[in-house]
Amino acid sequence: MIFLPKSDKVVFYSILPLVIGVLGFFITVGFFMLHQALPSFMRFGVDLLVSSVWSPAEDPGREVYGLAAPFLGSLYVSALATLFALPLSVALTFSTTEILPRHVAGLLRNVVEVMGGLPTVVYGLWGSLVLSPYLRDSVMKPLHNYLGFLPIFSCRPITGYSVLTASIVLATATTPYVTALLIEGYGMIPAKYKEGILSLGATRYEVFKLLLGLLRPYVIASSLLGFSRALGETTIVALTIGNAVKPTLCIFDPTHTIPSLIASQFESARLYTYALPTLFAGGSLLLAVSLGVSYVGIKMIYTWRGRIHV
Amino acid sequence: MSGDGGKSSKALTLVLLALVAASFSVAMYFQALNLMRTAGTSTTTSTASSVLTSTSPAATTRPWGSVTLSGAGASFLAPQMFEWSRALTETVGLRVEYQSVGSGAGRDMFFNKVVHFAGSDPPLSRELHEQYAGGVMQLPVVVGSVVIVYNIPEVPEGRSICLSSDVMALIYRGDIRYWDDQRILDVNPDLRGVLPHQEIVAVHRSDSSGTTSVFTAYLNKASPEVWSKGLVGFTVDWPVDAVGRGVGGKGNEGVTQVVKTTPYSLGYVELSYAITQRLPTAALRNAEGVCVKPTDQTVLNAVRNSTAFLPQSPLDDWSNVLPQMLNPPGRDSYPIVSFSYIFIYRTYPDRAVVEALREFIRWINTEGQERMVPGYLPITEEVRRVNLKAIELLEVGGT
Amino acid sequence: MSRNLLARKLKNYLMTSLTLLTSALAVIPLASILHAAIVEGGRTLLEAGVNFLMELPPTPLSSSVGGVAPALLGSVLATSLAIIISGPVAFLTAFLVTEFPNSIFSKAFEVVVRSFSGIPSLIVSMFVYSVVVVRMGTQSLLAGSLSLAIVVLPYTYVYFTSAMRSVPETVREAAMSLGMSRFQALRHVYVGVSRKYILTGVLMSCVRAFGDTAPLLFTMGFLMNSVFAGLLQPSNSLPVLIFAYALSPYEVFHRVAWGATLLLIVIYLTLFSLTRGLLRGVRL
Repeated sequence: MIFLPKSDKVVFYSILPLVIGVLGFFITVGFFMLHQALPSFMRFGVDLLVSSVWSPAEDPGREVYGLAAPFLGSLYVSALATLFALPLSVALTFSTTEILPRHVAGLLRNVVEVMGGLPTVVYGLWGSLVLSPYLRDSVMKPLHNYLGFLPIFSCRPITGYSVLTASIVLATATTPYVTALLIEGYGMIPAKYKEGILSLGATRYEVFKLLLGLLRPYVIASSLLGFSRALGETTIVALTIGNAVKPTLCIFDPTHTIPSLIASQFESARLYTYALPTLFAGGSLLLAVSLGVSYVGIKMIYTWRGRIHV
Repeated sequence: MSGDGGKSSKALTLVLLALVAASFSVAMYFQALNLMRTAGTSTTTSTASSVLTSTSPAATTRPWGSVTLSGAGASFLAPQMFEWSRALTETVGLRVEYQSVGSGAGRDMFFNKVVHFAGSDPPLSRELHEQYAGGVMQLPVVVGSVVIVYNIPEVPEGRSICLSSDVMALIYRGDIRYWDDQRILDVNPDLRGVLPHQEIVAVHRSDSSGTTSVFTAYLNKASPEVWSKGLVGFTVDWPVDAVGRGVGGKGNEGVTQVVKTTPYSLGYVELSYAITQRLPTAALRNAEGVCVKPTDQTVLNAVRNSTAFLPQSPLDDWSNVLPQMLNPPGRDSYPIVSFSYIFIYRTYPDRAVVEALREFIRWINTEGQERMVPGYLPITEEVRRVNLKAIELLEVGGT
Repeated sequence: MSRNLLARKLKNYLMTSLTLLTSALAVIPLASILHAAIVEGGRTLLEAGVNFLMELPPTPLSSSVGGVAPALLGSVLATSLAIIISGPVAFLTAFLVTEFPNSIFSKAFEVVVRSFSGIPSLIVSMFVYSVVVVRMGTQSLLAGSLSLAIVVLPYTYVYFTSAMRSVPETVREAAMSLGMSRFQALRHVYVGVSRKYILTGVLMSCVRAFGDTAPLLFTMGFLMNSVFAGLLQPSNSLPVLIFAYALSPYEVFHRVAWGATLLLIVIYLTLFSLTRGLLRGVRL
């Protein structure tokens, strides 16, 4: 910061207190969570992470909790959602930047933005009432019947509330965010690259493919940020995942994510001694993972941005 | 690039200002509406007429002044509380607001003095009751009941299956696998040949709920050798899930939805959901060995037949009431019934609040009991008499 | 035409079509959502008419659907307050972080704030409950707005940083070469160039605040027997109302919940298209 001109320094130092204030505030919230979670960490230790039970009792001595299922569920569902969202986002980016005529592209972009802003309650209700019965009858049952020998399709789809349903709805809701990031990154590639490629007589697809190659770190970073956002989504998942405390690999099984566990158990958590601290422990765990993933993602974006503008 | 910066940022500011201004003028409008409403002014404004006509008896002396009582807690109580609070506003002029956040959260708000009263499915535990001895009153205000809904296409309309607590416990443990299991047929001799050889899907609540706690407490009381104490609570580690035939639904709504769309399933829900969703409900074999369908009458019989055990004061320990009420004696008693409670303090520093609570308690134990929402049943005379003692016990005093 | 070129053109054609198809797939859910909301909610809105905006919500024994006035007003006020609180903070911090990306504070801020957009907002609700509500002794519109402001801050911030970054490097350099200070450049150039993004950001944050349930659950209270009680008194909101009513067994409650959902969508789409229309006008 020593090399900045004086007027810039004034700007920097006048806003800095605000930045530090907000930063401090969010760190306080983080500590608040950890503080609330402490009794649970002290009581259950490592068991909290490796076992999966949710067994409250009025007598604190008989309470047992383990977050393995919801924690793995969170990672699994968010990873699947990101996996589904990525091709959609890349396709939307290609369509709006290279293929479609300008006004159609603008329209599509608006539609995607509309989707990005829709309240998550709406997605959740749609997922549980419209999508899950449809998925159960037209997707899960055939897949289970023909490909049931694969572990991920091995369980019988009973209700439609499942890992698959939750990840698809989550992917739908995350796509606009990842798309926005990708379009932003795509726009950041200096024009000279595209001009260069075009002057060699490349087709549109080839241009996009080459530029996408250039964009690869950015794509990975956007996926990480999308993943991190999917991790914390509560409403959608709570309404579509089926809420069962059972670790599973099969995508037709119901399971839990940490936010859906919080949403389901919060109502009576305060009736018990360790239930609420355990929910907070889950929240802290989620925050830690989310912080880590976001950090890597953002770092990648910064590095890439520095490299591309040479 | 388009437009010059100044112009467009001005446009931006304008849009923002317009949004803010619009929202505040809307606010003012509604507040005006509201003021007119509380003042009881009769106006002829056409659009808002229905809001305005329902004015309270103005000018009569109200010892509680303009206090709004706030309560929070059990979601089970919410529809009945919504009904009561509206009626209270319209007939007596006392404003009560209730929010459904769950028994646990409601209790926390109550003990933190964020709300005046709490709604709770379970009464205070023995330990908590001792801790607050003499300070907190518990009033059972409605009777609820848990019913078993099922979806078996083969059972014709007009006939219903009967289940015993042993059979249900074995189903939820995963030990009874098919609908034509001998143990089910033993209870339903007339359905032999009707019940199909199909796997039973057992549906339960996935979120924590008072309904689960009542249902599992019943299984434990009626069939202790099949359903152990460890499987009782707001959330249960369902053994049937482990064998892949158990499914969780979120809320009563979720359970009814799953049962509706899943052939050969059964689930437990509150009576109101069975009534409004028109699902077939199972008869249950009660303590005298009679199969009884859930109706207003059979549920009330159950409450009446168990009142001998009830505490005689709101200040007493109510923690043992639920197990005593379940599976009560009497040939016509439906076996799964429970109370929902409200908690209030014995003393409040504000006189207006005390007066408001007195009126609230008087009203819900008298007129309020005639305004029951489908699925909720009024408490018996005897319980009302106990509840009304709270009016005398309430005092103005330090926190 | 050489075979090679033909193959490349064919591939281009194939991949373009595939991309368009995939893009279509991505927006199908929106159509499905709108369809469901219009079919279910439309009936309620038609039945209740304009009174839906002005009457108190029904009780289970009510014969008519009534309205959602307390929830609508509560939502509008809480959202406005939340944006008024979080908007300026997000704007200034976004400015600092995009202008001085190499500062250690910027990096830390970016990571921490972006991560907080990922935690369950229920936790924020619990924080505000313990810190504000318990101390004030009552739930209130103000506490709800604070909770919402904290939840939307990261979103507003992310939108504002993209807005700042949408300013092309050339414009940035041009502004600097005119000898503008950073504040001058921000006021006269960046805001103009990126206004579309800023407005979108404000709007999206509004919508996000308007549609979020969890932050209000323990902080805002519930109100159904009067339309408005005061800033420091409990209030109601559309999403909490939808949740409370959608999960109940009563048909009249379900109808209100669907009506409120459609209302939420209609308000959102109106705001969205209005802003777009206005922007197009400015551009000319």
